[in-house]
Amino acid sequence: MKILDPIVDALSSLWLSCTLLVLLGLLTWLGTLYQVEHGLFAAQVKYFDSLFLIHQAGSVAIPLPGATLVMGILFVNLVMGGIVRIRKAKATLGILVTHIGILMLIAAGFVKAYYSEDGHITLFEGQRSNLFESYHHWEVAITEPLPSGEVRESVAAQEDFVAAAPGQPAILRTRSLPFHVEISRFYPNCEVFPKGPMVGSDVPVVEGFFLQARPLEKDNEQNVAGAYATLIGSDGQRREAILHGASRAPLTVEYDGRRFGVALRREQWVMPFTVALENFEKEDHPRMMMPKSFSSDVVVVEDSSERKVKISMNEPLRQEGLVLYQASWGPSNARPGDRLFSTLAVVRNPADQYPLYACIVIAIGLVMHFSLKLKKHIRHEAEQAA
Amino acid sequence: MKFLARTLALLLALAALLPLARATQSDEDAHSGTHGTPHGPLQRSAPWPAETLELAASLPIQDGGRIKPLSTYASFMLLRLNGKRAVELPGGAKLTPIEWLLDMLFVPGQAEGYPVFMVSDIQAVEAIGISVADKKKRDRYSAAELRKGRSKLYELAREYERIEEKNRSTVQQQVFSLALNFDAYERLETSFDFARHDLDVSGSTGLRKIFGADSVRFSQLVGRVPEVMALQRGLRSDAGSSGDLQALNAVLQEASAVSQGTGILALVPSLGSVKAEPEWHAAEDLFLRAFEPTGVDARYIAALARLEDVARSASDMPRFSKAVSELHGSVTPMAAARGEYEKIGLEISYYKANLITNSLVLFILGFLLAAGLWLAPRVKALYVGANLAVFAATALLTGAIVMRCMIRERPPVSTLYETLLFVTATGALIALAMEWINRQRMALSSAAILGVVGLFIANGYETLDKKDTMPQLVAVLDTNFWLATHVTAITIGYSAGMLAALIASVYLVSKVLGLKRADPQYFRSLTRMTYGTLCFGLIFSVVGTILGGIWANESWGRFWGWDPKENGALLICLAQIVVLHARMGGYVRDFGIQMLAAFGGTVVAFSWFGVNLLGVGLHSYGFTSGIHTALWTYYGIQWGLMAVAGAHHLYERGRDAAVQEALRASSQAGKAKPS
Amino acid sequence: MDALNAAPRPRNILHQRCATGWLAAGLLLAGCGRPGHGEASFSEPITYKPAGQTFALRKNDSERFGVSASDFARAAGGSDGAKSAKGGGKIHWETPAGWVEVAPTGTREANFKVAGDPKTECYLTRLAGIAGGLESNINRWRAQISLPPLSAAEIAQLPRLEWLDAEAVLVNFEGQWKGMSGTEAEEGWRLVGLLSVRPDESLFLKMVGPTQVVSANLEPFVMLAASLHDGSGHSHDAEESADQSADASLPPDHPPITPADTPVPAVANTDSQRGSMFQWKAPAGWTRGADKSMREVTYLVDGAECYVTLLGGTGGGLLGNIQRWCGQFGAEPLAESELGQLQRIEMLDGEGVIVKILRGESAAGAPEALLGALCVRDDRSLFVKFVGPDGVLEAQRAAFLGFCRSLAPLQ
Repeated sequence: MKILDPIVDALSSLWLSCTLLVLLGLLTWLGTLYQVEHGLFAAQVKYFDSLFLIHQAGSVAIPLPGATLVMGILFVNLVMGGIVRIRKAKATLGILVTHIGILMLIAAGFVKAYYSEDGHITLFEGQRSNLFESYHHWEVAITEPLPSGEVRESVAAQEDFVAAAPGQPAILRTRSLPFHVEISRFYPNCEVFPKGPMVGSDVPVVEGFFLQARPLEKDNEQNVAGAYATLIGSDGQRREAILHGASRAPLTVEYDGRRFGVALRREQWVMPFTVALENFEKEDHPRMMMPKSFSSDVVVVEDSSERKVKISMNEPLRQEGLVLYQASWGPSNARPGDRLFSTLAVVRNPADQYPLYACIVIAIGLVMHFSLKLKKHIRHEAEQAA
Repeated sequence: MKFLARTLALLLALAALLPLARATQSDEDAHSGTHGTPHGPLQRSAPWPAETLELAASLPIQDGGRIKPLSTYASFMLLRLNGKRAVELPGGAKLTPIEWLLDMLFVPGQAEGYPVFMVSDIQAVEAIGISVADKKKRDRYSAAELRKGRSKLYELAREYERIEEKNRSTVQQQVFSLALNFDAYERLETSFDFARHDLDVSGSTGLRKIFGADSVRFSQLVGRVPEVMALQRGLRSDAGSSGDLQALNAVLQEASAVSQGTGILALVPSLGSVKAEPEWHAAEDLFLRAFEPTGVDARYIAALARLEDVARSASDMPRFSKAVSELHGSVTPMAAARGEYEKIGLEISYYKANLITNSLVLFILGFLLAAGLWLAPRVKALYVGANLAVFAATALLTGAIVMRCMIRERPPVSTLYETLLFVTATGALIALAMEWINRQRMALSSAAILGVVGLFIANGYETLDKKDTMPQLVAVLDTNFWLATHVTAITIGYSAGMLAALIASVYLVSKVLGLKRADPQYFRSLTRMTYGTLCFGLIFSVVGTILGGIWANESWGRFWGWDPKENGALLICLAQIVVLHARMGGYVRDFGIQMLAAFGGTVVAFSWFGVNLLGVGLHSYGFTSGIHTALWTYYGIQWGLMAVAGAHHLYERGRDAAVQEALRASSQAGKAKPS
Repeated sequence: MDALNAAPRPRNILHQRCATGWLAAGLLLAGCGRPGHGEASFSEPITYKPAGQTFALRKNDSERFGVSASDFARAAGGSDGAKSAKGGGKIHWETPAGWVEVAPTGTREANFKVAGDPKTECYLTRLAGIAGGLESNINRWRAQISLPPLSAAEIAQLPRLEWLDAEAVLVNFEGQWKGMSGTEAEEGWRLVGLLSVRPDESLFLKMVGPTQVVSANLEPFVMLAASLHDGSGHSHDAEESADQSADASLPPDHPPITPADTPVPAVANTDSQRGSMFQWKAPAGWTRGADKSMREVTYLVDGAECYVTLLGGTGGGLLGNIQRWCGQFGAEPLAESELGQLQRIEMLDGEGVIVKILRGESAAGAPEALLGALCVRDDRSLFVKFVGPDGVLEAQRAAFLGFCRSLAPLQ
């Protein structure tokens, strides 16, 4: 396989390592500066989660590889050059260990990217929930309430309809329901307005309402998506509807005598337990308005057992593969004595503890390598002095 | 109709209240004290006795969420107003912060004339309509001078407040902060008005009966509030005594007015436990507490009476000294009972020992000796002296850091100011260790330079920031475990990065200036030092960065979020890793390593201070506009040096190549070798 | 020196660069995600029991989108939000000029943004019972702007006035705003409020914001406070205000058209309303609707609504009002030349003009048709609007005209 040799050589070369490291540094720097104007989420999408991008330096457009691409190649480079092909000797043992530690870190990132769920529960004092929802991603959900008090739910992820526009609708088929959904327009940020007599609009008006697109907010969590949907029954009958992310209730439809709620909402997951917020507390330093601590007193209800837990900054709750963190609170204009809500970030990440192990391995590798070097250096200096 | 009638009634009711608005208060009214009460004596009869000053300095006060000595409070307040920790009087005499504070509180009339308001741009003073005939562009003003423009000052400040800080012009910002300072000053100088003021109860027969006098002190009133309230109830049910009721209400309102704003000095320790009652007290809240069913404990009343004694004896020095000592004897046991007095002595010694300044002086001495060593390399005494000076300086600095840890009960680094101390100390220690290994003198010089620059910046930072350098921490930072691990590791990484950049700069400067041209060993040794420092730093940068991710995972639920501070840490790691790999691949040699290490210094500076100036992200915990200038100065110097060295390097390489070409040509031609 | 022993460059750098390019291209192809349109499927259903919130179905679109019906109807020239409320209970108000009414939240029954200043807000809170009492509420407000609590004695000295048929306490504080979110306090805030604590329910109207803004908005605040009235009809005194639409308003210098000394009839015509200056004869089959702000009376018949509005002066003129109605119904504006062709009837000892407007295509939310009578005088103008399905309007046309003719000033 002579023809592959140059490719293997290239992929395992130190030259490539250096180039990629410099590129990654450049992207990190540009992505940091970009946040000032455009916010973290936009910077992340443009510089870090991308394969390619165009960086605007003033009026000059510079094409660059995205950090995902760079890190992908770096991963290959690390495996081939830093682990497979590296000279195996006592002198390189530390380097090898360090590289393995970095691989573990990358593996953690990979697992997190593909197998984690990441969202939040926001509860007012006295409320409870067993659901948590994404900060960023939207889904269309069809919910059927069952007589037992349970609900049966099917969802379609944002990736399936995000590009829906006039002329290229997204057709979302259901597996066993008497209708399916067609999304004809999707707006990542919009408002719903009643169509008054004095208002002109260039989009369809459904039941007296229409969606007005708005520019994207810097803070992605502020964006509220909306969509024009058509529900198509098995008899081919079409029903137009507006779905909006800030709706108070789903759209109600009836097919074959069954009632369904259809909603565009933030992606949502069910937890194997219920969390009830009893009390949120914000403590300030004495005679100051600087927060000293935030904590939520919650009750974790599972089956019939109840457990009281305090979740505070730096002290999350770990339960059944989920970790609940004190993330935020509000309302920000609350007066003393007002009812408060607490936002708990919820993460399911199978690789939660990998970085710690990776950190230990990397530390061991680096210490091994550099102490070897230091010993050599001291011996060298001593010889010189002698 | 009804609508109109109602509207009118409402309008009238509101209009009646309008004159209360602060905007209508004239400057002259304002000066007779916020509460219209007379000030204390106009002149201090003699200097405050030394032992009284010492007692006053060690009075505990709750400020900025912690208990500190009154001297610390005074010195940072003065630093904030005056830009330095002393008052220079027109006659040339100097006042220490605690002397100034006592003057402010007890002879406000005299303090009024002290030039304690530092204004860096005269336009700010002109803007509030004060004549500035005999003032320099950057000059100091007394409260008496500024008072003439008081209402204009507040008016402008309210206007500028609505402009986002980064969009304010220099003058607007100056006016704004002058207004904040002036406001703090006014609160402070009237904070003992309650103690000097006599409440006139002669208008109410009932009150006269309760107190047995025509005028009472504030503390006396607070002590008898239950009786006063009973009297009030009685009067209210008796229609015939409305005059008496009015007089009584007037007294209560007067007491409320004189105590308002005293919260700026919380000098009375709480009697409860630290957990149950974290807040200390001032006249203001004790007065309100008196109306609650629980009432006010007699010990609080006694403490208030002690404060009154102090304020009322300011014109009689022996009496004053006695009053201060009684106050001290009354409040310190209260603080000690809560376990809040133990650190006061330590903090006073910390500031008295002046460790940072002394360390700086020794570093400067060490630097001078090391510089002498460059000129006279063989003088052994110079070498020993320089070593001793730098070592002692590092020891003092380390001592200062240890004392701070003990006072705060925190790991060494939890604020931006402390990173400066810690980076300087660890950098000097690493350099001393290297010197101990190779005894080449370069590491020693680097340690001295780093010490001087680091502490100079630390002092500058403190002066710019003008805030207590031992503040309380926001909720997320309140964890000693992560401060001790992640923050310490990252800061050691900074330290190594800066030291490597410094040694690299020494290398580049030597190259450009043609020093030690004949000594390749010198340059190789420098490169080994740079490389070794980078390796050392890399361990801490990488481990620190990953620990940061783990911390973030513990408190926010995500390991990495491309937050600016995280990115900065990553940049440092990448910069250091690139050097190692490029060296291993043979893409860089001595010069290249040094150039990359020098550049790495600016990467560290960006991560350390630069990202905080971006003003975004979860980590922006410190912002001081003056840092911006310092940072860009450093970038400029470092990049400038790199550019010059690079040009010089290319020039030399071109020349060497030409020489080599000539050599080859001559040898090919079989000519005689050049001499 | 460095140049002399420069490292040999790695040999196959060119190959390496090419290879990297290929790799990049490969990754790009592999990295293509889903297109975001076209065909896709819903997930397999999962079944679970939601804790806490009940699953709400059967909401209409207005409820679903949280856009209050009154916003909607107002734009269409219809009724206001009080429609759903029966009789008393609902509080009415007029939003002062320059203020923006925002959606009510939590216990805030009416919620306003003041004069475009994002920091300043004004809102009406209505709580059952004494809601903690006067003292605790005043001191809670004081705490919000960093002021120490007032003693009972001090509170007793605060000014009182009559508001919403009961005694209210007026407060006016200045201090440092202590929002809960910031680590920094804001200096120079002012809080003005009315507290009316009654055994059955308590009402609090509060405006809080930077002193300058609040001070500049005292008058609108007072107007708002005075305009508040409940729907039970005993305090219907907004006659002199303009119609809800912004373009027909009383000229600013116009004297109030209701002289303060106009006697309010002790016992009015059974079908008239207390506080109104008119009497009339209700047509058979019409039912009296709930009294509303700015209306003399409202009647309902077969899904159509008829109501009478009195405005000061010409109220925007004959043509102006007709044009406005056309606009509200998305109909072509009426040309001035067509004015003369409109039907005239005898009304209020003078002439009334009858106009019929059908809903245009762009006015999806408006009622189907409007039948209106306009009686415009120099000193006051009376408008009778009859809106609803065209069929009902035509069927009731005679009754409507009879009703208009029956309107007469109260003797």
